[in-house]
Amino acid sequence: MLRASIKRIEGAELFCRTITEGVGNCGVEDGDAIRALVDATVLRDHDEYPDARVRAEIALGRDGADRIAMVAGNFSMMNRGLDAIGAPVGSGLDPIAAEMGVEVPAHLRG
Amino acid sequence: MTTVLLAEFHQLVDREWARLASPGTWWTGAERISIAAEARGAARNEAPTGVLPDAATEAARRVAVDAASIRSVDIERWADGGLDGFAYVELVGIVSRLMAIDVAGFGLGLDERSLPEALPGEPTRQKPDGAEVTTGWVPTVGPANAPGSMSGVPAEVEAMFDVHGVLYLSLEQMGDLDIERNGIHRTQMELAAGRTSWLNECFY
Repeated sequence: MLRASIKRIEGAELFCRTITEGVGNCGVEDGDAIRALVDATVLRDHDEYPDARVRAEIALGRDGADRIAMVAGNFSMMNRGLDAIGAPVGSGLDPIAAEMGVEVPAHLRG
Repeated sequence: MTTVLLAEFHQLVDREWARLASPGTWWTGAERISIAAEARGAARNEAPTGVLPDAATEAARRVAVDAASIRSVDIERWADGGLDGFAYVELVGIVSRLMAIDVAGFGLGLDERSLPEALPGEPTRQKPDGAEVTTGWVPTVGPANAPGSMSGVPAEVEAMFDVHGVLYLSLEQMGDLDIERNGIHRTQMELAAGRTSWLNECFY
């Protein structure tokens, strides 16, 4: 979905590996602020959250920062639901997994 | 200051708390709240409460804090311990939605809301037609994929999409790759989704 949606933005280019490495320009507007708020939110990091939240509000506005936090919550649900029921990962995701520098574990191959 | 978005979030929590307190398909309201309490306790690194049977206690805690480590042998072992596959699906739904609300609430700068009081009544114990173990580890109606993950317990599917629609996108909005919500473009939402999945060690 990330790859598909960024194609809608003229001139934008996605650098997938930065999503997993956590540093560098990922190609998404305000990506650093989004990534910092997601990290603090998902990890429920009380030390990192205040600065990450302020950075996100400056970049995205209050409602924008709230939406990012809510998306992080949603995928915390979806991730658990899929992992806990053993939903298989199709081989179609292998190229993007390689680009991100990760390998799909054998137990998720179905 | 309460915004429209925050009001929508609070209304979602109201609905989820009402679902949590009510008898489900396989668990009573009191049991559903105990599952949620166990999950929250695990997220806070607190000791198990001992209220639920061992299999349900372990499952609730694993789904809450270490879902990526769950394997089919765990689900078989929990079944041997009395946790039926359908009841496990409902447990996964309860815990995963609670984590969605607690994680989002943290990111919104809100305090965790106390869990509700249980309502009386018995679970319906109704299995949907066609539910069977197919491509996943638990009974589903059709393939075990994102929309079908909870399909062994239809009430949990409905609840999952309620949360999904408020926090992220409704099913109708999913096909719009240019959509913006609250000034956030789909690409920015997908970055948040991808990074969340990476942090949760989830490969989907």
